Amino acid sequence: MMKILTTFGAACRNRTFLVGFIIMLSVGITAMFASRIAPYTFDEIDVLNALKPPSSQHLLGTDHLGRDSFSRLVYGSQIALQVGFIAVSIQLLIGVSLGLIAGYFGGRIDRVIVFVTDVIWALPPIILAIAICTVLGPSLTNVIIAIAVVSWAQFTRIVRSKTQSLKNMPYVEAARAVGESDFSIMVRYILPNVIPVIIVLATLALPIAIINTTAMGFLGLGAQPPAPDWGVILSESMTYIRRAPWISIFPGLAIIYIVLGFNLLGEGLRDVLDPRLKI
Amino acid sequence: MNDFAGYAARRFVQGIFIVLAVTAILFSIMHMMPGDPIQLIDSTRLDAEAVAKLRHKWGLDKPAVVQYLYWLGNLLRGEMGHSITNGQSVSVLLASRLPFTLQITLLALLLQYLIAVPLGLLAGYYQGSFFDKTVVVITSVLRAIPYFWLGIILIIFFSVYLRLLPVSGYRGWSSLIMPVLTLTLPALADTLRLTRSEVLEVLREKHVITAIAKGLRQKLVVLRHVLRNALVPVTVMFFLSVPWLIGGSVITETIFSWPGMGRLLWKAISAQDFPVVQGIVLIISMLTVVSTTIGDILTGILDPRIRAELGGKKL
Amino acid sequence: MAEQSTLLSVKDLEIAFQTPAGPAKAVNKISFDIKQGEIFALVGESGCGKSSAAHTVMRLINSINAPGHRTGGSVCFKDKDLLQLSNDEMCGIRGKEISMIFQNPLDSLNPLYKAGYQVYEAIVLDKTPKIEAWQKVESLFRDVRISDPEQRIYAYPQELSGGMRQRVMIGMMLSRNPQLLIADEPTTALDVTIQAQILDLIKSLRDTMGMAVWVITHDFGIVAEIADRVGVMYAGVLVEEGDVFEIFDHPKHPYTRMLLESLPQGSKNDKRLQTIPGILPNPTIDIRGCRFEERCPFKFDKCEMEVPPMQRMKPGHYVACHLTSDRNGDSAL
Repeated sequence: MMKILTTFGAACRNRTFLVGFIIMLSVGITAMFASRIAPYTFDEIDVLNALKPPSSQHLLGTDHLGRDSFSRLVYGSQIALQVGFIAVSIQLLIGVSLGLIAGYFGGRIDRVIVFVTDVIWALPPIILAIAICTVLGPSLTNVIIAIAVVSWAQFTRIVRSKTQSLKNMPYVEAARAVGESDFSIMVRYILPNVIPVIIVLATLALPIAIINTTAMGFLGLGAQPPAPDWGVILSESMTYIRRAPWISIFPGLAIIYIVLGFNLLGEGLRDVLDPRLKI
Repeated sequence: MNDFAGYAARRFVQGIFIVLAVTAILFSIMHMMPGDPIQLIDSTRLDAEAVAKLRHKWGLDKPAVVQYLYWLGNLLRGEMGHSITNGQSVSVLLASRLPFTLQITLLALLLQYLIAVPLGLLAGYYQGSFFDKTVVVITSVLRAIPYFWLGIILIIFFSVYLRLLPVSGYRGWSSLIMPVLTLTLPALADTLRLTRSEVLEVLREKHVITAIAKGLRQKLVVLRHVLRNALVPVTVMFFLSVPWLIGGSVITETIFSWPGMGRLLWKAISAQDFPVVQGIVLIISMLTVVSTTIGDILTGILDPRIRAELGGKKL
Repeated sequence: MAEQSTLLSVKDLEIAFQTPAGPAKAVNKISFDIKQGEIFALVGESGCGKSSAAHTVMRLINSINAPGHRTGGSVCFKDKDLLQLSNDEMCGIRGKEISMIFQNPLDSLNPLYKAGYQVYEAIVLDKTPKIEAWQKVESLFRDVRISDPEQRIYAYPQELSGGMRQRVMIGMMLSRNPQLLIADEPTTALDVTIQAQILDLIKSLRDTMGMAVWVITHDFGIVAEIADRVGVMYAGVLVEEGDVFEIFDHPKHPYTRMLLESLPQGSKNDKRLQTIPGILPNPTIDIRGCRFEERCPFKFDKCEMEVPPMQRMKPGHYVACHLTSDRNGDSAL
């Protein structure tokens, strides 16, 4: 706990981290108190006031059904954060455990895992996600699954190479000599040393997961209307690009804001935790 | 060098295995789909006997592995089945769309590197200058921009507001501008960042001091000893970034109604036209595998250290 | 060696670097001369500023590797103050008039170019025709005693051993017949047997080519083997300077003495090796008196108050120590 606090203190002296942290804090607060912040609900239809430009009534205007754009964006942050965290958690679970196993045991199991990783690596993530969602059917849950399935390989690669170099460290050999089980060595001696790298990678994987999710929503494969998913909003706005360009502009700015926040947070963390890490 | 030729050969074989694995994955995904191709075509017009006949004719009554090999054999002959929506041969369909996709992706790749490498070099060389700081801020924002939104913004600006460019479709060179820009800008930020950080890293290496100490002028030091070394990872990135670019092109083509593979894919998904989806995913995966293989082999060609290391390495 | 004219004259050279703790003075007003054809050694612990001095003379410290550094004083090379030259003029000096080899030959060569090409690159700066330049590369490889020069030319640096790489560096840096070669810890990264070979090579090349050599080292053993004259540096200042035999036989400064005592002397001396207790003073803090005062076993009041001036003991032997100046050189040491 102390270590986390001191690391956080060191990180706050890094300007990149601090800016990213403040951005993410604002996004987190927005998502948490969405119902208090948003003046309307995300699905309140008011056809008489459709496609209105920004005004004091509707801060960012209204869409083709008269729904308040600002409120939809605010509620959308919940989806973005949820999807990001769940997808990356699944990626971590698959990627880190496979990486540990491959790096620690080596041999045939390592070769199999490396080959699977190479195959996943060879597929353009968004294309594979599209293929999976086509088969599973469009829904937010399926998008999360698809995104998790296509992007875990980077964790496996890094964790595997770190484990390989760690498993011959004297303290690991000592633990083995004392008769610790393989599982306990992996979890208690190797994993803690890999965690800084994982934190950095995970922070940088979050914005990619969010962009991919909104892309899937945009293509109609993700969240379905009337969900206030930013990709869905953008996709709906395409039809009214001439009459109401403001509907298209703001969701994009929201995506940029959240992605920028995570990127800065991740880069700041990298500078603090592992400056030589190349991502 | 002979060892390295061996590595290149092994890497090539590995590429073939990866493509095979991809076909197996695709086949299983499609095999697990509820229903079979016959039902998808038109199940109402055929009686049970005719269905059974067709099943036998198409090999659908055989075990999955045999079906897979059968399908693979067809693939090798360039036969990828027929579109469910209009009955066209998938291979013919793809052959007509691929050039359009290559046109925008290759142009975007070219433009991206032509801009990113010189700017990245300058930013790295003048680290901490006003120019460098500006570049870092701009690329941070550019990297966060989603392709699809950038496309929409370009349409709003160039077509709706300025009325300079056609919104969508293929009407000559002017139609290329927006799709290419959409693909170029976000990727450009990554390449620029990579070039900059590689330049910074090489500048810290001791051999640069040697080059200065032996009397080379600044320009030669930068071009021959800094840029040349920094370009190794940047060139490799060129090939490794192809999958991302193709992913981006699906969305870009959809926005601009560009008649390439990406738009075809999107249409096929909406129409549940699985043979077409399968064919496109396969082609894209193969393009990716080819370019990553080239990238891996190229690292060795460009960097004698890696060449020596890879020559001794088993796959 | 006969009295010769001065080639390089360093006067009141000051170098300060920007550190998080404030500006740090790496070199604090040092002055010395290097004469034509001589081998001058600058000795001192790591971090005493000797390497910074050499890099400054070559103007290799720039805004990229040391943002915010400052220099003062003058470095006259054949009546030109190197510190005042433009970058372009300095390019004409480097390699052609003064060249430099470095501590670690492992990363001093570009791993992406063949060893021969990197030497060739220097030779063609003098507009030498291509074929002639390659012939010169080969003969240089032979001069620096690289075996199989015809093949080694086409080897990449990482395919050569450390000693071989340092030979390539020496060949490269002497290819344009400079009048001064700066050797910054030329053998520190090498095996002991290779060390002797490289020192021997440098010495014999000096004899055949006649350039002056400025060796920077922390090792008095190397000084004994190669140098004609020695300067001893401590914490950014020069504390003693003189002929190599004079310094070895009659060291005056306590620091020099202690350095010599900490040198292993073979079987004839069965005393335990001496160490110098303490560490170098913090370079960001200004010191009023003698910089060695904290570690000096012979210090007295004056040492803390006043900087000892450089004083002549004998022709060609200078010391900066209150002990020697106060007691007329006839010290208790």
